[in-house]
Amino acid sequence: MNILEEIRTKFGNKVNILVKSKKRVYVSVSIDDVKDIVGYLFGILGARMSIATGIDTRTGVELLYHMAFDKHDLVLTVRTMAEKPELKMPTLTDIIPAANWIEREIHEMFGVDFVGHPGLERLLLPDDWQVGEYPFRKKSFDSEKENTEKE
Amino acid sequence: MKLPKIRELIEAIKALILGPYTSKFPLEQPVIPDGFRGKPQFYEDDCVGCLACVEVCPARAIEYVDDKKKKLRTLTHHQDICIYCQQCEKACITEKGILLTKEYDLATFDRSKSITQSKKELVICEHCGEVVAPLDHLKFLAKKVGHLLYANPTLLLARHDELKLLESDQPSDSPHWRSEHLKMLCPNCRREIILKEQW
Amino acid sequence: MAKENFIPIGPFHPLLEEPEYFKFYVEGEKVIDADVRIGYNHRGIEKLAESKTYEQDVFLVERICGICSTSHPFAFVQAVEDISGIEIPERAKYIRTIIGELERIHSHLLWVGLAGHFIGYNTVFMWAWKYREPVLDIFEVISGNRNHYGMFKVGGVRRDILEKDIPGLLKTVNEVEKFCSMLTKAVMDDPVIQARTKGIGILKKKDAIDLCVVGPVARASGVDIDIRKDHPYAAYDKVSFEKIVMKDGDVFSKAAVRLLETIESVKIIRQCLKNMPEGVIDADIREVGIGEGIGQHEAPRGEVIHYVRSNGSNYPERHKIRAPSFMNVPSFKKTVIGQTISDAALITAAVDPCYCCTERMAVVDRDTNKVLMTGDDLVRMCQEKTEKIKGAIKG
Repeated sequence: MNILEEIRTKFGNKVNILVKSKKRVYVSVSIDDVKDIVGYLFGILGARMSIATGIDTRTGVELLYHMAFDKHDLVLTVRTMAEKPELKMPTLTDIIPAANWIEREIHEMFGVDFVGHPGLERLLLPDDWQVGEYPFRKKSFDSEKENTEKE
Repeated sequence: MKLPKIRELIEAIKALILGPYTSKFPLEQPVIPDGFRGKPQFYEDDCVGCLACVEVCPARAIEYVDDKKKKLRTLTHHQDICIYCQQCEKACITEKGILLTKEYDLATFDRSKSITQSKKELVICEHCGEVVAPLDHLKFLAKKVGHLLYANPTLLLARHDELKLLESDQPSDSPHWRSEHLKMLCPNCRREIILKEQW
Repeated sequence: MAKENFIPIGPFHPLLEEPEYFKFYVEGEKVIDADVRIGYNHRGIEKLAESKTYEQDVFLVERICGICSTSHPFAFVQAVEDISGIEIPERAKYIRTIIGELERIHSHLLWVGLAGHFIGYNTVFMWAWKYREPVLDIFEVISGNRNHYGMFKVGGVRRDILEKDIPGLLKTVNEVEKFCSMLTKAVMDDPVIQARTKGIGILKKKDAIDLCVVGPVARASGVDIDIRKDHPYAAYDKVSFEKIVMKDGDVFSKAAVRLLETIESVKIIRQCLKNMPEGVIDADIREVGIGEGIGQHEAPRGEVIHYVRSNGSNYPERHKIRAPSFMNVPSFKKTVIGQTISDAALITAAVDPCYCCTERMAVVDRDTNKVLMTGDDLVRMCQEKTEKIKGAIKG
């Protein structure tokens, strides 16, 4: 079963597939289709969710979901972007229970709000950490914003 | 069920005969193999003060301080920050300036004693007073370059310091006379004098 | 309604190798709910890795964990090599495999010792740690240190395994194999251990797949994953070994999987030493390239995955680290509900969370805030139940 063919037939041009090598594939989707695609990969095609990563960029927080296909020697990464300043994402805990902890960590480190998460509280930071202070945001972006606002 | 018990019984009898596995430290010192990564030590005669170890150290355990008045560069290695990874030894350009010994017993009550240092004489620019390099580093480079050193006034003056041409104490305020070519200058002043020399 | 007590285990507890805070809500002797809080060891390593160069990062990630200290550099250098598809020399692949398997042996022997102590068999603890010592000594000869070996580098390995060290390595590995065979047979035949650990803390296969657990915890529940066979890397596709998978998912299966894996590791090391080619050990890489890369490794506790993004400068732009216990620890909630409190501690230890232990724990009556039991009491309860079972079998 060719995984890329299955994805192309089911989702058509909602996905943008980049094949970096035989073992690494990167798929870009929009924020509204993420839940359908990840649900399809986990439920129907039998992938395993390894982890999710958040990266801070100028326009938003880029989210990457790494899905491992153990029977086919392939790691497929689903890439999407949560726009600033709202930073809202639908949660995946109702289809993949394993996403509970990693969504809590991305919420406290970047400030992304996962809509529908059963208990979005602190995982790693201490209780008396200041609210609104997100450690993983790049300080150079904030100071650029201040400089342009001054002008 | 008797057979499994015999396996363990043999092991138990062996352990009783051979005695405890631990050794009586500190009365018996252990045998340290070659290549053990112990405490790093500076060797001043071989160190040239090039700061390669400072750049490479992952834990930032080596620091340096330049004193322009006394013309001295002091490199200090802190044993309480060091992670004993051997990168300083691998990065050293003379391969003998800092070496890891076999010492492992480093506990002490006084933190200021757990350092090792290397002090190197500095050479100062005669025009602007900035640091050029340690004298031993320039001599090392001069030896490596061979006969090509005679095309470079900095290396020439350093290699032949018995000519005592490096001994002026104050930076000069004079404009860029052509005679300043044969003075010890930092790279910025060297560029300026080539562009703007007057005669 | 019975008075609801909650028993905190942690954050510092002898059963756990690192600080975590477990909360068990009990009614009588049965556990009805459980919760875990982590974050006591958070050091900000991912943020720190963005201000160090790639070579310095290898030493930084080595110090994430003391027991599995080769797993994180192994995954990290493979992620960096994946960015622009760097190939490493053959001899380096075999040396990396040998170091990874030696580490698996010493980590599993450590766990077997701890598990034996907490059931109450102190002899197993002493013997397992005695046979672990030669493995650490051979690491000292090969790499210069008993822990934090510093052998990995982007593009190869830093030190070579010399001809004069190979007889010592083979002798150590043979001794370990003899001990592990004896221990495996002793554990599988002993009726007390079977009664103590069989049927306790069962993780069903559907829960294991939903919670995406990895490593021996998954293989003990029938989920057939092993990164060494599914996504081959280094020299693992050139040696032959077996995947150990069991069906029941209880504490006994988890212990059996770890013991049998140690014997497979010994086979891998022997094959690598026989087939290792001559040649250079380092591909001398000068620059890393622009892009992103993913690296995986099968650590003693499961899959380690690192993600690195590079933007062409000397420092990485983003470095994501995921240790296997991040996926395994939430699974204890499914396994511990319905069990008794003296088993709850053993079930938590069977997940093998990766940490170093300290000791301070108390059972507190929620309403009156009086300390009912201390840490030693809870360990003693765990050992007393074994005595009771032993008595029931003999009598």
